[in-house]
Amino acid sequence: MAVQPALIASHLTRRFDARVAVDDVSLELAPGEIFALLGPNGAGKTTTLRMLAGLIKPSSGSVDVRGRIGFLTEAPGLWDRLTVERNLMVYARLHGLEDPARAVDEALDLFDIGGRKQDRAAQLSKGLKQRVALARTLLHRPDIVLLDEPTSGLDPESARDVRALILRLRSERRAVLISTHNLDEVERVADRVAVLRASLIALDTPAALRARLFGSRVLVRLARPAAPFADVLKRAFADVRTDDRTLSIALSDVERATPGIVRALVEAGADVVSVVADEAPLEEVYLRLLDPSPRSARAGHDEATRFAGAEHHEAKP
Amino acid sequence: MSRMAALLGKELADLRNNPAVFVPAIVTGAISIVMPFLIAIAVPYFSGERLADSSDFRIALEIYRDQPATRTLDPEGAIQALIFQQFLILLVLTPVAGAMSVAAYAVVGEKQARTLEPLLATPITTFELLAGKVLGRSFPASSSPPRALHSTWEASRCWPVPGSIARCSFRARC
Repeated sequence: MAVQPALIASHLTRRFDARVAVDDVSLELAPGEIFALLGPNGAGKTTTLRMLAGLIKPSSGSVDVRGRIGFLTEAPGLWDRLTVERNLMVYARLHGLEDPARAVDEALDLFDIGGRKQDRAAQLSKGLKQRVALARTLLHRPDIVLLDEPTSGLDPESARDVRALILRLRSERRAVLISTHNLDEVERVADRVAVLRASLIALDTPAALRARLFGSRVLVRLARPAAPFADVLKRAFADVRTDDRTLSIALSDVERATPGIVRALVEAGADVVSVVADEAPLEEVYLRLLDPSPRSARAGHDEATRFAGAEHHEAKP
Repeated sequence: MSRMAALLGKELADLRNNPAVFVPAIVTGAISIVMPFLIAIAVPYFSGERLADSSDFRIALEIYRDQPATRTLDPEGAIQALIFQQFLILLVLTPVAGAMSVAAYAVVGEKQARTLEPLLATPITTFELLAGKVLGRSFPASSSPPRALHSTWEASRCWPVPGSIARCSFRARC
């Protein structure tokens, strides 16, 4: 049975006077999915999140939310003069939780900030404030979690903790939507990616976007010069390139084809040192999507640069 | 209702930790209390010139001596009563000054501190939000005039000068 989406946004458009901030954006969010919303500054990511959270109404289009929403705003948004505990307690009551004190204690424990609960929010570091804000976001156990720049300004350790939390949310079957500029973070956690610049430029899994823009390749490193073994592979694959001891093979399905490649090379007497998928970084995918001009392509994932001076073996007709 | 109470509790806790918002109300209240003592008592005392001897207060004296509340007072006491009554009017501005300063922070402050968005992401309704804000902010403002009047009364009781100040200020409050 197909999984019912936790959130459905249909043709969302938001205008601010004459300016169109978000234009005809449609997306679905499934339980247990981590969905990343990417885009340059001013692309409409935060506006989209605010519409999804119900903070602002779309000029047109609709949002169908099937569950409780937790929204982490870009700024922690804590009341500085109140203690950490008091901040959370107010939200626990605003959400109408049955046992607010217990919910707050659990949230404090979950984010390991129980020792600072009597401190005023103003006294906390940025990382701790973000933790408190995350605790506030998850206080009422939302089914859908919207995170606007959750690791912005955090040190690597805190950012890692936040990523671990996001992954835990997925394992708890909660739907997570992250708006971020941190492509490394997206690479690590996101199941699907949408690139936004007022309207949706692309929406798919990172692997599918890569394959669409750059194709899929696998790199096979050998113990000896690779050129003699290229001929073995050229019988089956159209695009085989060599660079000293490395073979690069264009594939339509990396997972299915790779074992056969390794087998063929070993049978031909090659000593295979390593086999890795040759994936373009998500950053290059993102940049290509935003600017598909040749200049962008050269700056991006350029095989000619990687295999500088290499012999290019094209498939025989 | 419980959400409004939660917000009201937050507002009061926030105000308790932010005495600066009371400064305009305190200053206005202090002026309305201290100034009449200066003008009606301290200045004549140090200058050695009675208020009743000043031509500036002659007309006021004629009017006030006919008033029921001041009829039994001597001329100096009647003028003191006049001055105190005028400054008591200033107390009316105390809640206004207090309300203005705290109300200015109420929603705009939330917006500036970027605490409004998380608040709006909760199930709180617009009515509950505004009601919680108004109640939370009106409490300190509305409590300041009685406090100021009480301060005036206590101060006047302790001031050992001629002219029946205590009696007059009490009647003026009534």
